Amino acid sequence: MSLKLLVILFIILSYAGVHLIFRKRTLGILVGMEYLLVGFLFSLYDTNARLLEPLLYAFLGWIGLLTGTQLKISYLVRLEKYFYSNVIVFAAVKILLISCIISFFIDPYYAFIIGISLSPVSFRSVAQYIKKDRYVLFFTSTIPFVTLVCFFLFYLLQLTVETINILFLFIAVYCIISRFVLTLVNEKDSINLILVGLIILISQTGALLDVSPLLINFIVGVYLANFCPLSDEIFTSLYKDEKPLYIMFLLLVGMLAGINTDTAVLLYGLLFTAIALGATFVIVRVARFRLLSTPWHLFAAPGGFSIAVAADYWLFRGGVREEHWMSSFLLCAVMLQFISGIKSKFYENRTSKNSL
Amino acid sequence: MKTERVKIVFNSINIVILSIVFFLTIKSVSGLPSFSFFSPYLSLGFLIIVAYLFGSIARSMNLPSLTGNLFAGLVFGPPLLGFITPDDISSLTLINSLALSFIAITAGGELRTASLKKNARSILTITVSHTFIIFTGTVAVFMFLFAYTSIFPIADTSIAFSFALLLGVIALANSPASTIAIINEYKARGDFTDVVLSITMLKDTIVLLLFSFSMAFISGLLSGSTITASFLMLTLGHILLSGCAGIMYGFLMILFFKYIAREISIFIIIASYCAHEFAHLAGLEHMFMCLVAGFTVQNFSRQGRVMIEALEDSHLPIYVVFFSIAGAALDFSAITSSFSLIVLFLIVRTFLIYLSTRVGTHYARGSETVKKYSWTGFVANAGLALSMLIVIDQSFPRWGHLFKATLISAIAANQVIGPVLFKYGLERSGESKKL
Repeated sequence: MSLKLLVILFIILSYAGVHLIFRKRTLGILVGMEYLLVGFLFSLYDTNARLLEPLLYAFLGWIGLLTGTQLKISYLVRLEKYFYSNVIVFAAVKILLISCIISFFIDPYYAFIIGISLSPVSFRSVAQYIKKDRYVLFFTSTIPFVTLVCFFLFYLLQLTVETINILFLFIAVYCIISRFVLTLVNEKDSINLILVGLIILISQTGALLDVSPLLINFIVGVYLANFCPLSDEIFTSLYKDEKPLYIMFLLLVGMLAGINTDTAVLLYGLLFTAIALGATFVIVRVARFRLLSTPWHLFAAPGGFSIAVAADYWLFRGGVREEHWMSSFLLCAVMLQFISGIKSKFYENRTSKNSL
Repeated sequence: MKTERVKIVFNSINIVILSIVFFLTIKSVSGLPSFSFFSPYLSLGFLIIVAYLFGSIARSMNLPSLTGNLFAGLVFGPPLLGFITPDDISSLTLINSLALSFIAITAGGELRTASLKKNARSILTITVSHTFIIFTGTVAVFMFLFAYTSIFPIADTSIAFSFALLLGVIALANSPASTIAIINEYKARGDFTDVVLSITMLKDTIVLLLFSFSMAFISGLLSGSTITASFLMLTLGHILLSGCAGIMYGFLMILFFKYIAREISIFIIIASYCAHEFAHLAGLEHMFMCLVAGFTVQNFSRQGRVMIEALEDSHLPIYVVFFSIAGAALDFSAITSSFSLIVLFLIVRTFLIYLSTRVGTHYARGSETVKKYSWTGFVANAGLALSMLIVIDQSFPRWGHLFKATLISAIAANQVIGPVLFKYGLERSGESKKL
């Protein structure tokens, strides 16, 4: 299949998919993860899929920038201290618990990245059932920031001093440039255009210098959110097409990473799922974090952001197609989403019967 | 005024900083094996930002943004700084094709039968006078110059005539992309705007026909064979078929707007791309097909407004990228060797455009603004002329390359001057909403 045609198909699928998944009264069980599976199907065709890798870098850049622009210090200081300690401890314990157990079976580096990737919680899965508890909603939406900090520290450990210098120089330069360029923009269309330019430029430079596009864009996003007068407009512009872009991203990851059909991959996938479910159960039920009133399984769904973290690391390690750890992780992410979705449906039915 | 000056200074500083960073980046990574793989995208990101900044400077200087976009491409492209390599440009041709279809759909959508009927006399007379005066005038002037002066020594009379004939066709061509971009930027509405746009689109079709006939005639002249009637029918049939495909494509678009009507901006971009691919596969004239499709939606349904709004929503990134890439692809390398011919071509063409427009408007008895300023809309000359040069270069290896190298510089100059003149005309006519 022609790559151009494939991209067009992806765009059509993603925009049509938004209507299928998000415009209904209730979300599908997989909350968009089905597109990862569609991506796997595409990977079966013999295409020059690797030519689309620069697109994946750009998507990771967009996700990083979008996440970064949500981190506004002026909003965050309004929340209580215990809230932050709860979020940080929750994420850290989840990462440590999952990665320590997984490290018995695979390389500790990969175990740790799987732990980090499984720590975020899908906001949409939680928000579908928990509509009024603001603590839980804030809690869920803050976890990705802790995940990214952990990912950043883990990432730094693997870089040489020279690459770390480049990384920081690169971040500083692009923060300043982004701020400068966006200062004089006063039209909505122009903000979109500049953001597209910046995301492409930063992500592709990141790809060439072998530094994470997700992290760099995240830090640039944090800087813009707090120091650029147009921060709200920037966020709105990035958020506008969030759903179809996420779907496109999942399709692309599925197609580029592919899925390894080894039995070992399946077994590891099942094992990771069991470990992640167990860890989530223990954390929510035993350590609590004031989440006891919320069904624990809602915190097991990892969401698209976790795929982004794993994909970023996968690209950093060379982006080998059908790599074992990545295939097992993707399988695990889909299964977690599925199990969480199924359990949530049961929970919903039970609560509606009780209320009757 | 002071704010504008501050903006210019600020944007210039931004450009300098960004250029230094980009230069240092490509310098440090150009040796990497993955460089050629990521380079086009890297260049695209850089080009989008600098083209926007240049466009912003141009606006502050009371010039059209597209002049700034073109300059960005010119400055950072192969002719000057070389940050954007020819390989990068050729990798980005997909965007160019998409943009051309998008522009043609926009142009078709801007043509309304009501305004065409209202200005039918002006449109017809100016088009006829342009076709006759510019084409024959250029051929005559250059035949005379080639024969009696040493301005461009061509010994072979057949080649000299071929040269002059093709100069005539190129002189007649306009730039629908620049015209529609300026109209969109200045939100121009009125008789003058309608007349210029309609004639530009109509002339595009005439130029295509003339070019096909001229190429066949020259091939015959150089090889000693003659043009057959079947060739003429084939060329006309090709244009007609493209038009029919355009009508069908337009009706498909209407169906989408009527029954689905979701994510219209994205749909327009996909539709532009698919139109290009379809025309390419079927061997049709894609600009003409898209023009007819846009025209069909605007005039044979109630969805024209929806389409125009969607086109206006997504036009900025497409224009910025398209014109900056076009700027990077401009080549001034022949300017020193063929300077006198280039200058003469520019003078003769501009004079003939002015003369033929005055003659046309005199007989049309149109409005005063059309009479006075419509010539300013016909100076820009790019996309179509450039694609014709490529065909000429490929078809006549003996002298085609020389012709292309010489004419590209002239087209580049027209493309820089044309939009500025048209913007001046729009402002003077009072049809520009962005004064």
